[in-house]
Parts: sequence; C-alpha cells; structure tokens
Amino acid sequence: MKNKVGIPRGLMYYYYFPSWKIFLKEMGLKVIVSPPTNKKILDNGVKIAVDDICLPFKVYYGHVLELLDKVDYLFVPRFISLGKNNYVCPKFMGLPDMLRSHINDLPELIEPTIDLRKGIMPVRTIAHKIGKQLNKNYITTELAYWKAVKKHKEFKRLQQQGHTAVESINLLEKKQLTMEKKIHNGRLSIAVLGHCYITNDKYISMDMINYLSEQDINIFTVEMFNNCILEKAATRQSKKLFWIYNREVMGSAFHMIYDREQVDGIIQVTAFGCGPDSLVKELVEIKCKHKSISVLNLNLDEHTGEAGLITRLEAFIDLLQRKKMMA
Amino acid sequence: MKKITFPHMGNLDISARAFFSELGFDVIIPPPITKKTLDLGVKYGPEFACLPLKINLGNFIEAIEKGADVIVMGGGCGPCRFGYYGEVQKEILKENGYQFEMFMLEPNLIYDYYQIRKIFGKISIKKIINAVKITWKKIKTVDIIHKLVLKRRATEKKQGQVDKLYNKFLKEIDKTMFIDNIDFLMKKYIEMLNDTRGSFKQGVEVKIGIVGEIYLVLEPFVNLDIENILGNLGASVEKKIYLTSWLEHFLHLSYEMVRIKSAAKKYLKNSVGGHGIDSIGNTVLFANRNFDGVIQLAPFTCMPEIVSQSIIPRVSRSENIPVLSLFYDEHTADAGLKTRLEAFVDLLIRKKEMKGSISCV
Repeated sequence: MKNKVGIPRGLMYYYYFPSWKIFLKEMGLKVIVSPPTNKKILDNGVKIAVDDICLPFKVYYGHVLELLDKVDYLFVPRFISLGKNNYVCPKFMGLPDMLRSHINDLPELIEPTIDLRKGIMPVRTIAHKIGKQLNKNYITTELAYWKAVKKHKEFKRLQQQGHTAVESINLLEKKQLTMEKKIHNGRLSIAVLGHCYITNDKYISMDMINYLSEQDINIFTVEMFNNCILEKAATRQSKKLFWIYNREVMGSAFHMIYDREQVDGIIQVTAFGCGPDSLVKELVEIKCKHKSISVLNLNLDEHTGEAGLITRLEAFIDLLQRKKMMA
Repeated sequence: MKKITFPHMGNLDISARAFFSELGFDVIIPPPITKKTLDLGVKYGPEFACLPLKINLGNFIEAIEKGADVIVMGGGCGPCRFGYYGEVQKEILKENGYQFEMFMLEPNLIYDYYQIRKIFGKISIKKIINAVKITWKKIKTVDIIHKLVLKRRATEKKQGQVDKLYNKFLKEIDKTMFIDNIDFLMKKYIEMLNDTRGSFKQGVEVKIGIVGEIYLVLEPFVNLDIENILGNLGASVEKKIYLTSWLEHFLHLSYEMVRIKSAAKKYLKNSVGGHGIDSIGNTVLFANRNFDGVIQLAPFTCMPEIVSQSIIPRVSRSENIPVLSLFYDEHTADAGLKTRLEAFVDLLIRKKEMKGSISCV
C-alpha cells in the first residue's frame, strides 16, 4: 500500500507547509519532510543542477534526492499564477519537468498545477484533482480542503504577529495558535527582506535572523506584513510588478521606506542567479537612496563563508548604531 | 518635433525606422552596438540582469546623447524579465540625470494607440495602417533573405561572398520606401544568392538548428556572430525565431505555437515565459526533421532558458540529437566560442560517418 508522501524542505515549503501537511494527512497519507538543509543536501543538489540556476533550486533538488527512496509519492506543486495579472518566477513553472529530467527513478509525483487566474474557487478544484489522483472520495477531499484553509489562516495570523515562517511552523506543531511578539522601543529596527525560502533556511542564510535577534535588534521580514499593506505599498512603482512573491518583497521594502518612521536599515538578501530579484534590488536601492536609508545587499551562493557574512553584518550594525547616536 | 529612438535587436532598426518615418516622426537610430555600448550598460545596469537589458540601456544612453527624447520600448506582462525592462531602465536613466520620455508598447493595441496620441498628438488611423503595411513587408522580406543567407553561407564559392551580398541588401532595403521596390529587391537578391551556390565546404551537409532566447538569436553583436562562424565552418543553419514569427505569435496569427507546444508536451507541460517552451519544442521538431545538431543560445541568468537548459539533456537523450547550450555574459570572448563550435561541428560530422550514411575523404 502506497501511503508515504514526501515534502522537500525548500521553496514553497516555507509559504504553505502547514496547510499542505494537514491536507495530505487528511487524505490518509503519512507526511515525511526532508531534514533541514545541510552540507550534504546542498552538495548533492549542486551536483545534479545546471550551473546557472539559482541557489534555492539547487537546495530543493538536494532535498528531493534525500527523500527519494523513503517515500511513495513526492509532493511537487507546479506554481504558475496566484491571481489575475500575476505570475511566479518561470523556474517554478517547470519544476516537476526539471526534476524528471535530472532524476531518473522518481517516485510518483503529486504535481497539482497552481494557476489561479480563472475559475470559481480554483484552489478547491485543485484539491479535488489531487483527490482523484489518490482515489479518495469527494467528502474526504472536501473536508481536508477546508481544514487546510483553516490551517493556512492560522499560519498567516501567527506570521503577522511577528514570527518568521519557520517560527510559525514550529508554534503550530506545538498547537500554539497565537503569541504576540513585542517590538522593543529604543532598539535598532532592521528589515531583512528576501524570499521566505532564503531568509528562513538556516543553512543558506547562515542563520542570519537568529544572529540579528541575539544582537537585540527588532527584525521585520516579508511574511510579517499584511498582504493588503504590501499590495498598496507596491503600487508606488508605476508599472505593476508581475512576479507575485517579488511584489511582496518590493512592497515590504517600500512600506518600510515610506510608511514606517522607525526603520533604521534594510538588508536585502538575494540568492545568486535570482532573476526577478536582480531588477527589484535595483529599484529598492534607488528608493532608499532618495530617503537616505542604509541598505546592505547580501548575495548568497553555495560558497558564501559564514565569517565573511558575519563581518559584514557587524559592520552594518555598527554603522546603524553610529547613525542613530548622531541623530 | 520629438525625436524617437528604440533599442537595437538584429535587423529591427530597418523596420522600426520605416514605421516611424512613415508616420512622419524624426527617428534617431542608436549607433551600432559596440564595446562602448556594452560598457555603458554594464556600468549603469543591475549586476545580475540579463545581457539584453544592459545592451539596451547602452543603446538608450548613446541615442539620448545623439539627441533623442522619446524612447520606444517593448513591454509585457511576464513572466519573462523583458516585460519589466522598460520600468527599470527608466528609473536608472532618470536617476543618472538623463532627460527623456519613455513609451512602452504593451500587448494591448488600444492602450498603445492612446499612449501614442498622448505623446505625439493626433495621428490618423489611415496613416498607421499604411505604415504597418510597409513595415510588415520589410520585416518579412528581410527575414526571407536572412533564411536564405543562413543556408547559402555553407556552400558559397568564394569566402565572404554571401555576407557581402547580404550587407548590400540590408543597405538597399533600408533606403526604399515603396512596396513594389521591395518585391523587386527580394527577387533580385534571391537570384543572386542562389548563384553563389557551390559545393559544401565540409564535403557533406551539416544541418544545425538554432534555438533560444530571441535577443541572443537575432543580435549578431551579442551572440558573437555565431551564424557566420557556423557558416564558415560549412554548416547550414536554420533558425525558428524571427521578428515575423514573434509578431505573428504576439498577434495570434499563426499556428506555429500549437505545433511547438504539442512537440514539447512530453518534456515540458506548460509555457514558462520568454522562449523557454520554443527551445524545447523546436529541438524536438529539428530532431524529427533529421537535423544533425541543435545549439541553444541564451543570456546568463535567463530564467525561461534555464528551465529549458535543465530539460534539454533529457530531450537530447531520447530524441537522439546532440545539443550545445551556450550562455553568454558580457565577458564571453569569441576565440573560446570558435573552438567550441569547431569541436561541435567535428563531432556532428564524425557522428554522421559512424552512421555509415556517408563516407568522408
């Protein structure tokens, strides 16, 4: 009996894991997640990937390899669009096909196509398609879907109370549904802006978030903001940015720059080879220059050494503290 | 009077000049792309943006210095980065103190018409239709001759003969403004090109298909004139991506895309923006037509082409066609490229020999 499904701990895991988990569990499957990224996973991923693809995808491949002989199904959604006039990065659109090309003996893929541009309740339709693939009846799927929706709302709420994606996932595992995080006055406030799958992956981001919190700094990440606020802030750019996840990053940057007085600095975390980020980075930098807000650009690749990164962070914090004292 | 400029892309300048001057505007064509253009683009452009953005940025700066004040740029709504080029370039140029107006052509003709009116005042639709007619004719003729040039280079009697004819043709068609004249030119040059036909330089016909990202496929400065190198090595080249095919697809006038999608279906299930699915589909189609090899061209960090690059090894294995993926950045030098292409062509000839279908001396 095939009943084990693997979810690689990478990319969209950080956006949707709690709801995926409960959905697949309700469908009668046992969910297995790959271990947190480590050197072996990264190295394996780098080995099979093409050179030019961005770092998070190489990591994702590594996670898939890790799960390969432990599971019967692999959950790899194909993201295309999350609404009218928006897209995700093209690499997500070909993810299952790229995996098929790189790895020969893949387990059966559960690869729902997430294209929410048309239809009524498109996510529900997708859920039922998965139900059909797994031979489950209508009612089980419907119930699982609603449970997943509820879980996702709880997940979002926790994040908006000031927790990062990984912290929220851990709190949900402990069945803790609300916990306010305090913002301390008088401390430095830094926005760490980048895709969830970079900032939340402790290995590739060198645990930057924890390092900063230990320095008594208020941290803001993209997932902590309400979508409506981000959407509104992103309209400051005259042409609408069509990559939805990058619009969130750009929106949170603009929100920090224009609408919040207390932000001291912005750290832009991008991965080597990320296409949309290369453009968004430039736009954010120009806006920061106008408002004279300090920016630190960190471009991460598979070779980044921890010592170099910490030195740069230390220097940046020193600079911000000096600036704050002068003011 | 406002002076219009636009970016270079292969032979786009010929048709764009025809279009705008037929409408009665002053046109300033950016100086031909040189190392200086690239350097300007690299200096001001974002570090990890793809090569076309940087070159276009260089074009704009050079054109503004020549006196242009309206930039016409393509737009789009994703997911390829090209759709957002204009916006980023506008911000960067403004930031560096250049004065200009930018007009982005979006895939929405009514919106475009009103934009044009806003910038240039009233234009009669009759005039536009006239301009479109002559432009379309020019684009089509240039593409037809180009296709022939790619074939004839492999069989020319005298080295460089075909290129000479081709350059002369481009100059002549740039000057004419009458549809009848264009027809006449086309007939004349087809005949002249066919006259150059001798024997194959390598003794056998090596057929190579070129797929990839449109800017790299069309712009000889950026792809280091790959088709010329291949032609001189004796390979007859075929491209599937042209301005005509792109415009036809853009305006939903051709079934080509349906064919490509069904050919690619086994390997890539949906479009990934840009020309990602075209690269896969055309590789399969080339393999079906018994081509000897395929070369994929793309700029460094191009997102759709990275997806194709990841999938192409699988296509290559199961369709049994050798594929060479070339990613270009601003440092690519032509000596290295030449060596790789020579090796690739040698490999294709050897493979043909092994099959026993031909015997080489």
